[in-house]
Amino acid sequence: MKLKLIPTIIMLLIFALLTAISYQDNAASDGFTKIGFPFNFYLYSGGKFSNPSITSDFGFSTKYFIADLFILILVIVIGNIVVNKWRETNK
Amino acid sequence: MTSLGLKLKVAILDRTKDKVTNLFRLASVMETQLKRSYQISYQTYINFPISKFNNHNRIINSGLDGFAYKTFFSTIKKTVNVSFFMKYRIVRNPDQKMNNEHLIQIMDNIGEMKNLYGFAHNIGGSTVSLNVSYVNNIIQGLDNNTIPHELGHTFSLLHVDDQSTLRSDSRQYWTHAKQNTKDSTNIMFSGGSKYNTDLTSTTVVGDQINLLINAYRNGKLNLN
Repeated sequence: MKLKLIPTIIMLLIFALLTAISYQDNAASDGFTKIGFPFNFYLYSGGKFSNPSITSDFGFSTKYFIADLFILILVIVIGNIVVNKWRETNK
Repeated sequence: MTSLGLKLKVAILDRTKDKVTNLFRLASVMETQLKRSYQISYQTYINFPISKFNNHNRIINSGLDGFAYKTFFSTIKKTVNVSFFMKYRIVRNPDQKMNNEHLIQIMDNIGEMKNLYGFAHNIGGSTVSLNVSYVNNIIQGLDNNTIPHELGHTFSLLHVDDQSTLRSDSRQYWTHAKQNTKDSTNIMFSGGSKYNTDLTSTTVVGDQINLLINAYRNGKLNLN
């Protein structure tokens, strides 16, 4: 299957928009700073936790970053399939 | 000598399912802790402009061009005595918070609050959430840090040691060497710092009060 440029760019923009919307920056006031959609590949908090092991998950997560990229690629491919089918039915 | 009065109005709300916290007792402890931390006396240097006349009403001329309208700054050392006043009321829902109040809300130990002592919703904001699991420690006097710390964030103070946050403000950071020697009992050490202890992290320094004053003057306090 050949990827079309415009649907691919639209999917990328939607994904970037969702990442921006889901972004939180509250670590400075003891909340959480979270980046990534649908999984947070960056997580940090300056707050105090009763269970210090929680802080071991803080920082950049390669696992979630790859998962986000994988989902992005999947969304682009599915988006292109949907657009191609829609075009074929409307010819 | 200068006197500075910090006045805080607080609305206290219990948003937990069981509502077991004695809010009146919490308010009383809160006032005691805030007075302990913020009611300090410190020395600071104040720059004030002098134009045309100095204290003796003599015209001050610029050394080079001789014009009298140039503004000169004189630095004086002042002792500032800070007084802290708190008024509180108990509310039943967050909508009852008035614009001139801070909201202290007690939350269940679930979701993002899980294992987190508490957090301020914004730097310079007016809402603080406390985890109900640790409120008893506050009331019993075992945790003297959480309330002054979180309210410190609403007074525009950042962590003194935290350089990992995306938003940074170099005025708030002390080097590791300074942390120990300058004020190792400061309230604003981040949760992960070895200097942050529930019982003894209770002090504020004059620089932080000055930051608070600047934030107030620049309209950066009491934000929603």
